[in-house]
Amino acid sequence: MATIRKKLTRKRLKVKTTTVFVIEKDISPEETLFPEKVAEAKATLRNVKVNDPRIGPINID
Amino acid sequence: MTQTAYPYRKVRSKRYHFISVGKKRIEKVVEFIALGENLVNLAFGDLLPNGSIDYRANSNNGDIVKVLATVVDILKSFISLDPNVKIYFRGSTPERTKLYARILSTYYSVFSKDFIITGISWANDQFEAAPFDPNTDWEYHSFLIERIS
Repeated sequence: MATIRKKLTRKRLKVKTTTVFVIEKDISPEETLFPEKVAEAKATLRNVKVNDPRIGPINID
Repeated sequence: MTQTAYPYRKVRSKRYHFISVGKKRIEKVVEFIALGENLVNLAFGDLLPNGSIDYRANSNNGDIVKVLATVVDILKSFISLDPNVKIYFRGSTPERTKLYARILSTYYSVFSKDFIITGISWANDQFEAAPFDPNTDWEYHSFLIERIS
């Protein structure tokens, strides 16, 4: 009985470890969780008239 | 904002999560998506159990000030990583956009030390961008925030 228990313990101790690498990358517009908001923002900013020299250029893709 | 914020975690280079703890426990997502050169859209909403987003949800979780303080914290962190970026945002409803305008007015003296705030409004049949005026009740459509260089 003691031998069986010992074997079981040894088996349980054999734990495989795996290293996971997470590669962070930028979110492209296609991957956004908010596609409607992005489309709406682009539509607004494409047609915005800037009335003040303090506001820099607004460059839309 | 001087309010306490929730702790948040960055899950991707331009996406952050935090948990709103009120009547319910709601996971919130804040995302910055590139619209052009040095220009991003800020959007946030509730992460639903199926992985989709509800950005129109009125959570009524009793912690709106803390939630918005967290979004401001995230915005500050994001802008500190990319000081030349302009951040565009608007509310998902006219009421929310008004709420954001009220917050910008209330904390204008604090925000304006570090940021240039631009208000975009619909006037004369077009969108016009002008410096945000904290002393008017002007109905803004959306906002742009950039760091003072």
